[in-house]
Amino acid sequence: MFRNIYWKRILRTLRDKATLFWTWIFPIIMATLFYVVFANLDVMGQLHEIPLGVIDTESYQQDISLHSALESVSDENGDTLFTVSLFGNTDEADIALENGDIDGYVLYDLMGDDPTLVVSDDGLNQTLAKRFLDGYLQIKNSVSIQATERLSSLLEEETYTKEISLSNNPPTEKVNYYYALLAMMCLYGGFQGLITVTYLQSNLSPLGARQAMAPVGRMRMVAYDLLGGLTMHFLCLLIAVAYIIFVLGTDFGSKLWLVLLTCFVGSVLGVAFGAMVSLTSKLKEAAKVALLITVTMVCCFLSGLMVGGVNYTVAEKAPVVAWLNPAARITDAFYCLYYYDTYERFFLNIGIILIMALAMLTVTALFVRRQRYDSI
Amino acid sequence: MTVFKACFMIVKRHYAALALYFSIFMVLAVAMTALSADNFSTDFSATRPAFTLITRDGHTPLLAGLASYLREHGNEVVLDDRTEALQDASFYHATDYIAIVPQGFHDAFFDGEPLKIETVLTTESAKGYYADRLVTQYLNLARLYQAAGDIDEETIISSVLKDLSIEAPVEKKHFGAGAPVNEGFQLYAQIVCYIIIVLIILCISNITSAFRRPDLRMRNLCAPTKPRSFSGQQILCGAVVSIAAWLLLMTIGFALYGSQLSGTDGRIIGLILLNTFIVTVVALSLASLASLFIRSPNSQSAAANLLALGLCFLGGVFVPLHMMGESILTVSKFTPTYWYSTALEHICTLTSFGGDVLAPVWQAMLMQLAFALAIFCVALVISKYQNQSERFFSSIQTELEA
Repeated sequence: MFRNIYWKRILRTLRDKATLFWTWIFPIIMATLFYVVFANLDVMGQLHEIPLGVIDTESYQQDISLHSALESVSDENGDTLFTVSLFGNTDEADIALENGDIDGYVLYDLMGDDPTLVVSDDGLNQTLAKRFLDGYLQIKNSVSIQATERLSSLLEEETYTKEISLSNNPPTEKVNYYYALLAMMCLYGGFQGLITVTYLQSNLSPLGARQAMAPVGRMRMVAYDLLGGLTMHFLCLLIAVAYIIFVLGTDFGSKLWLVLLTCFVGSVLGVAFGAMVSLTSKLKEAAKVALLITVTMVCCFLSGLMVGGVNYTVAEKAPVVAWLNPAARITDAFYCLYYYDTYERFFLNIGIILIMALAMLTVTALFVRRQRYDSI
Repeated sequence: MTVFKACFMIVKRHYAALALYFSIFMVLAVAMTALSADNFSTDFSATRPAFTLITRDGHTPLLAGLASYLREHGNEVVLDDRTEALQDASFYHATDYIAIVPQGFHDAFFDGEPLKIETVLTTESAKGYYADRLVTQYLNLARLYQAAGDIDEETIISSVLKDLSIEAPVEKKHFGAGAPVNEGFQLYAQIVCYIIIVLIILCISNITSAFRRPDLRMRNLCAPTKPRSFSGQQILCGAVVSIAAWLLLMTIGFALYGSQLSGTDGRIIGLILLNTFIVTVVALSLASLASLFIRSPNSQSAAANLLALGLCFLGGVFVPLHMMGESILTVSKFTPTYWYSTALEHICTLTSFGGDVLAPVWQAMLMQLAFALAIFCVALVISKYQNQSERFFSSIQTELEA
């Protein structure tokens, strides 16, 4: 009987085009779109050369210290902060500024002796250009007249900091979108749970009425059917993970078996969630699907699927919501595997996911068990 | 105009579902644009990095001065001195720069052999670099004063902070007649493209799939209405519905951001409206093509979401075009949404209205119209082929049967 129900459930899933689309094809398309549009996501906030103009006046030519300070940060051989262009007058520089060829220009003698920065916009590049001029003026002010001659050497700052890494894997914004997507896929396992319970309840479908007459216990029938649904859903997650890792080349860290364990536990939770939702016999199937999708999307939004970093903000501001959100737990489990060197929080997440799944399955079992109908 | 009226009846019947879609999209659009709304200012305002200062060397005037200087130029994010807390904040970009001051830093600094401050930056982050420069500048000046002679620590710090208050003058120039387009409105105009495409595909596919139901179609073929008039009335209804959707979305846009557009040049707003109208025409042509393949309510939402999401992701509607790789941009150019985003980007950076300056805007708009025309022609050809094919008679399902 197990083989009969189990295989029929697998066949049914393969023939259900709508479920196939939303649980198999849609997430793979989304992952591809993420890959396409987030190609340069991690490069976005990186430091790039800043195009800076300087009005080539007599005052600028005479200020050797500013000259050498600019040269030291515009060194073609080293790390270049500025790409300096000289302009004969402000009109030329204004045209370059308006066209976006430069982020700003340095002008002497506009408001006294100090060089002025002229910009057309606020931004990090403009702030860095200003900080450079601030630093120059501050050092210039700090040294005595005797020391002015060695101002340029003082502008070559000593290094007081050294960059360290907190993890073996580099931080990247991209992976969290894939984690949240996989969390969404896990919760879409709800479709499988929903199908199982809906089509096994005699008052909800003719198939359920027919199956109620079969010589097998209800609990066993539901369990075998759910197992078939879970198998298909886990298979779909395996394909998605393989696609994301091997085709799209996204780094999930080195603990692949634990990634698969997370997918499996997440699938169990998804299937259990769908089974619990479908218990409400007063709702039509379309309404149950809508409820399932709405809850999934809200959970996924709070786990960072639409806006990166939302899960961190929620965890900081409302930790209870974060701990009770199944999508956030699944996302966090993937994140722990990628970024942490220890396993405590990973297994804590897995434990919470399993407890949630167990609670939902228990509720389902209590309702489905010994269900009788006066009238169908 | 019987067909035209019937089309409106169908739209009316789906009023609740369309209203639900519309309100969900509007909430999303407003939430996304509200997060990035800015206020235009004629004065320069510097970028403030988020920083975290972890001191393992107690509270000394040197570090107190550093903290107060960093707070002046950045936003402090207080974190526990736990690896997990620091890892989380760094991974999720809650802070751009973490500085961990080691034990014994103070004494080593004043002994002339400073220990290094450990820093954590998100990968080559420009904001992190800026915060690092602030730390270096502060300590560099402190070193200068310390080297100058026998001065006590308090005096050194107060002198350093005084020097650090010196700032270079900044002049902010504004080119063009009016204020730049409000960022919130620009983002709304960007996202509205997705809403227009989804809504119009859903509306048009509802109308056409109802008329393509086998029983209705066979009955209509017997009616004394010419096929050309029949199709014409359907297209007219589609156009009216599309224009209504466009008008509604633009009205909402102005209701939300109108007050922030008072200083913006009217011609720029006019061009943005024209661009959104053209993308509405593109959406209408896309809907006429997509609806030919939609055979059930299930495939309707799948097709609408797939087409709209795919085109909007690839076309730079959700994510700026400069974030995409070169090879993807080449593919993007084959989508009408790419030209919509390009036109919008050009319009929002316009500072004059000369022929040369406006040329890329007109080019992007013409490209969209060319796409609309091409898609519409393909839809007509496929429709003609389908009308001659018998198998399409028995394959259409509407919600009445589903």
